[in-house]
Amino acid sequence: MTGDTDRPVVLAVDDEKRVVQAFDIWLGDGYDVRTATGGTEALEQLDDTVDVVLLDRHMPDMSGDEVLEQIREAEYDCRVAMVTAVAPEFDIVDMEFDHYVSKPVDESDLRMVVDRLLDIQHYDERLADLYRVVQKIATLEEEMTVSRLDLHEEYANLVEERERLREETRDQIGEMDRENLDDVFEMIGSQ
Amino acid sequence: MERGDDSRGRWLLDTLRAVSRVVAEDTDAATVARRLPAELVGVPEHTAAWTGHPTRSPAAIRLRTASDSLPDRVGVEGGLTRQALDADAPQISAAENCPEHQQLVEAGAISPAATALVIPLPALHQDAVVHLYTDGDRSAAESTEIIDEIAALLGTGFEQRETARELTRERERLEALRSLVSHDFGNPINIAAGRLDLVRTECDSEHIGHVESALTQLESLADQGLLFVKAGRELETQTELELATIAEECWTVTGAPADALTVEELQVYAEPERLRMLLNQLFDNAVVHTDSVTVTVGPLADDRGFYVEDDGPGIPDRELEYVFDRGYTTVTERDGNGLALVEEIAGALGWAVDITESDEGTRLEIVTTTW
Repeated sequence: MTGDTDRPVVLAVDDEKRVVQAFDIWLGDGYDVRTATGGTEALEQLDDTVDVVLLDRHMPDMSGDEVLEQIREAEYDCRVAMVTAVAPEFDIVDMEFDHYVSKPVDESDLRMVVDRLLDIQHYDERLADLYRVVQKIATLEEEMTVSRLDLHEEYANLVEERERLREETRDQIGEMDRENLDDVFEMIGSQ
Repeated sequence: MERGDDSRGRWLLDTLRAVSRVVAEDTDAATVARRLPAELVGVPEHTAAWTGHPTRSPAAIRLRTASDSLPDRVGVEGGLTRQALDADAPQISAAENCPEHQQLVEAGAISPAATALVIPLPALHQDAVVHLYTDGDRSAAESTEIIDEIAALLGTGFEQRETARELTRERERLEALRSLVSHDFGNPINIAAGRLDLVRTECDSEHIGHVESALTQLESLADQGLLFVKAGRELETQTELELATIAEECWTVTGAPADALTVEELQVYAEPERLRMLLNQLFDNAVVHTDSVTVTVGPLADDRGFYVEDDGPGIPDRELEYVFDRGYTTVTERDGNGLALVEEIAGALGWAVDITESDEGTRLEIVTTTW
């Protein structure tokens, strides 16, 4: 299945066949795209060569949330974006994804997400953690009102973690190649 | 006579069905112009139908029809088309007295019919008409009323369809704006702030602080923009909610003492997120103007909705008419979007907001039954 060896491998998982077909068409010229229309099939397709997984949440045989858990348990070295029409609730705080994309999604959104997730692989683990936290906060803030956010300890914890990680990565960012810093600031927000 | 009534009823029903099938479809005007004749010809007594609008040369009309047998153009000089357009009303005549019909018969494009109907379609195009030729005798006076009905259905049907399309476009625009304020604005602001941070470590300049505060302002504007978009977006599930419970939750966000809020038991039918947004904004407005404000939430008379009243400084009479405008504020560090946002959220829920003049404090009435 893997043709080119150097191209990043993206695994697209959605029970709607048309969705994974669309992802394949959108991403096919830059990436090696694999598709799966169910959780079990997704896990079968998964191996160490996969760089990014695009994962639907609601699927009949095995939910995306479950697939995500198994991916993390098996310690695959890949980045996972949930691509879903399910509105995020506070349950996402404990989920170990790297990005949350709300459907409908278009080609440029999808490419942006995949590119970013590939970029992160080159960064230090703590920067990747920071990115994950910033993403979660942005996802929750976009969906919820101030009162709901403020009432939840999970949200406060996320904000606290973000500040801690920002502090920890501060020196590291100062030492990074200044040419590429814009991408970093875009991803993790300003310090 | 009875037989005549019967056949007229059948004809009316078939015709109305044909029209509503076209109207119900979500397509552009050009498609409607093509589909309408095709549907009308499906009614047994109809022999031919076409739509068109006058070309640059006023003497001719360009046909838009699904039928291959009809020509591209028909001369309309002295015809019923102009009469219908000028009168802005349907025209009925014996088919042999309709010049357009006669032209088409002479050209061998259609077989002769008994009656010709010409109905203007202003909702489709300012000069659009539909010509309908029928074997039935529809020239009698009692048919006029029925044809007016058909014309009215075509008119309102198309208008509603246009409104629906307009709304869809509006939603798409809003979605584009949402994406703009939530992602696209944020990125460059983050870059600027991050780079500024580095500038600060490398050199010292009095300008840095100014750039920083401008950036902070920009960030808060982007947040406000996102709030506006959130406020107006499509409603999700609405349900019966306990106003008191949600109000108390929202009040805790203000950080004001819990006993400064009084809420009466009241049920409100709303989308939970939007109701929270509304109360967040109202409470935020109440507490920002004074430290020790107390707020009361209670029902309006006749189940009309609820009010939110505070004992703060109130709004001067002469300013009442501006308070819902974006940018109105009496507190300098505020952006002045609070009440504009309240109105936007209420509007999305189908509610209305009234502000009542008062010497002591401000009273906002949220009218939830607007019908």
